[in-house]
Amino acid sequence: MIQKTVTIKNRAGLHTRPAAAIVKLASKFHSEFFIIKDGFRINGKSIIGVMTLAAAQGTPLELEFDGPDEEPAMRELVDYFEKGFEEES
Amino acid sequence: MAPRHKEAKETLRFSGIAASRGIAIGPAYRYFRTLLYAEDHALDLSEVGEEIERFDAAVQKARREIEKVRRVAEQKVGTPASSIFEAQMMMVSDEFILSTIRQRIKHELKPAAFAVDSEFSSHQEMLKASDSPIMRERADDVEDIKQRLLRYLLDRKKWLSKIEEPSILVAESLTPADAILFAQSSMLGFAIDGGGLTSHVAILARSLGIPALVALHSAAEHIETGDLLILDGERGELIVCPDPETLRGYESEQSYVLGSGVETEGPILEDGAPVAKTADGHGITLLMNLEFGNEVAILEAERLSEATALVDGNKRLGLGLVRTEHFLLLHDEFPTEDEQNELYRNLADRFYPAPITLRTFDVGGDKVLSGSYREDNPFLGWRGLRISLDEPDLFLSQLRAILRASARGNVKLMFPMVTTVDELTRAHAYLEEARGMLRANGEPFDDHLPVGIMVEVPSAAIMAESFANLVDYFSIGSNDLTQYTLAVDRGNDLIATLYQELHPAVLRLIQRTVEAGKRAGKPVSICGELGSYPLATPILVGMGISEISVSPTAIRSLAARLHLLQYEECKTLADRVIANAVSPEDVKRQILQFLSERQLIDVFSETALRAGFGARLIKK
Repeated sequence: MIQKTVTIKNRAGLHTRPAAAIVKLASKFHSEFFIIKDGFRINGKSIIGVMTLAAAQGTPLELEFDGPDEEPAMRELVDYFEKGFEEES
Repeated sequence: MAPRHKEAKETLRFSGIAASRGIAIGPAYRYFRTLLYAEDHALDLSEVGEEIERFDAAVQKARREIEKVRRVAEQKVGTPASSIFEAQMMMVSDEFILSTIRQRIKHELKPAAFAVDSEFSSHQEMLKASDSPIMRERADDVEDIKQRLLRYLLDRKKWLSKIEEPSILVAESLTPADAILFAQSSMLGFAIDGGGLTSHVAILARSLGIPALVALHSAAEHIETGDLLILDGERGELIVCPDPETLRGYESEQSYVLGSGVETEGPILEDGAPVAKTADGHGITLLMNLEFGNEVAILEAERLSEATALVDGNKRLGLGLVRTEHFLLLHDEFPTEDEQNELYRNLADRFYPAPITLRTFDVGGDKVLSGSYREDNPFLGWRGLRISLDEPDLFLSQLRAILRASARGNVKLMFPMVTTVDELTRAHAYLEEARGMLRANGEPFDDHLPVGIMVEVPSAAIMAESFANLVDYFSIGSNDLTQYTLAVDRGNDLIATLYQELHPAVLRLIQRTVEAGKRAGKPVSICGELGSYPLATPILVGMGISEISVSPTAIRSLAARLHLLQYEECKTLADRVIANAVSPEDVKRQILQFLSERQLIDVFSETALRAGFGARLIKK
């Protein structure tokens, strides 16, 4: 199990579009993926779950990966977060 | 289904929020949405395989149906509304939730319906508990999907029969999908107990261009299919089984609102369109209010605009207010600069050479803050221009988009909710920065883009003189001006009757603004609902307002009223009323007296009767 904290970089925050992209990306991997915010633990492969996070720009999130491909999973998802979901910041 | 005649039934009135304007008169169609719940029982091991198949089939069916509704929405309303259903589609395709449900059927021997109910409900609870209204609305979408799946799994037929005759839909609540599907039948409007102004259902009503009331609280249980209803989307009232006098009054107001009481063919304005002339030759420019996303209204406005050009090809009706935040309300995210530019440019083209006045985003903080920060008092909070000034990237992006569109030559810019001169100065600085960016890129824009402000906060009206040299025009936002001046939230049922646009305090602030404009040689227009309120017309004329911007449905009746008035007489009336009236009732009484003396009371006062205030006064 590995973890990393990331920050929401883009202006619009974690809205529908990036939420869908995160779920799609995470679902490629076998490992479990959870996002933790303010003590809430959300399954990162569930769109409804990720949408409930409603995280604004600047919010720190903890990403948790557990499984055989946890390393590549974390790399790709952290990368997507660091790129600010490829949106304006 | 023949309408029932219930002559003995008493009249009932309910107050709600007008989600979409207009007046509908017709029989009620009472729609019952039975909310389904699933019971828990243990499956037999042998039933598991079939149960999973039933579940998968239900999911496929739900996806097909949502896609169908999305296509109808796209066709009827356009892409913005259909994105509501795109989001639903994503939720019903959520692999995680779907496989969790399958696991529960397989390993816990739960019936599919129970697993669906349980899983979706827990997500709903989380969404409903959110501070963000966007997330709370999402809970409604989850409910919609859950009910849809339960309906297939519990094998209930949905009684979504076509409405036989043109009716007003009455329900406790309505899903966006219901609204779209009913709109295909002859639905005149809808009135629901729940919902809010920014709920998806309200947005769809505006996009469909039909009158709608929400937040009626407990009206539905008192209404039966067939009951005659008046849906007053102008004042937020629902009248059940109205008496004949009230009914007649509304029928004539409706014909004003729909424009059929006055000539519908030919030019609206005889000469110098789009300037309407009073009986003694004083001209007032007419304009229309619009918002993006309401394609029906935009088309209607375009049609009216072209009709005025029959008189003089260059004199089309323009737009005194274009609300740009609608996109944001539907998509929950800000459009890009290019997306905005396309919308603004398209609108400028459609109305050319008439001016279109683009107002920068006027939304509350809740639309921007997707996190957990919650304002205690959003109405007095971070909204409108304040957000733009605090979010320079967003502001510059919108300003650049508007400047680029201004190259067409018929664009005007307006800033909302200006409270201090300093805010305006800073806004001008950003505008200059945006101009610089475009110049550096060699992109053309209108060097003489007129820039004005909404006067909707009392400080702006009181200090209008200080602003006058910093703007090209003023536009009075009478709705918010009234709310701020009288400390009344129109949406608050408990005190909504205190919202009085004809309050002397409001009129004095308007007059102050008009005078400051006159002294500085800057035109003053009005874009709030006061412009279309018949009783207010003589006062607005008399105060010397130069432009009135109203919704497209109100233009014809406004022009008709202006033709019947004498400017000089209105001026005398306005001076007197503003100087001596101490209450809104006093103001209205004086106006009614004025109209009565000129035999204009039939034309103007029907609306006063229905507003509920004039009734006692008229009988004198």
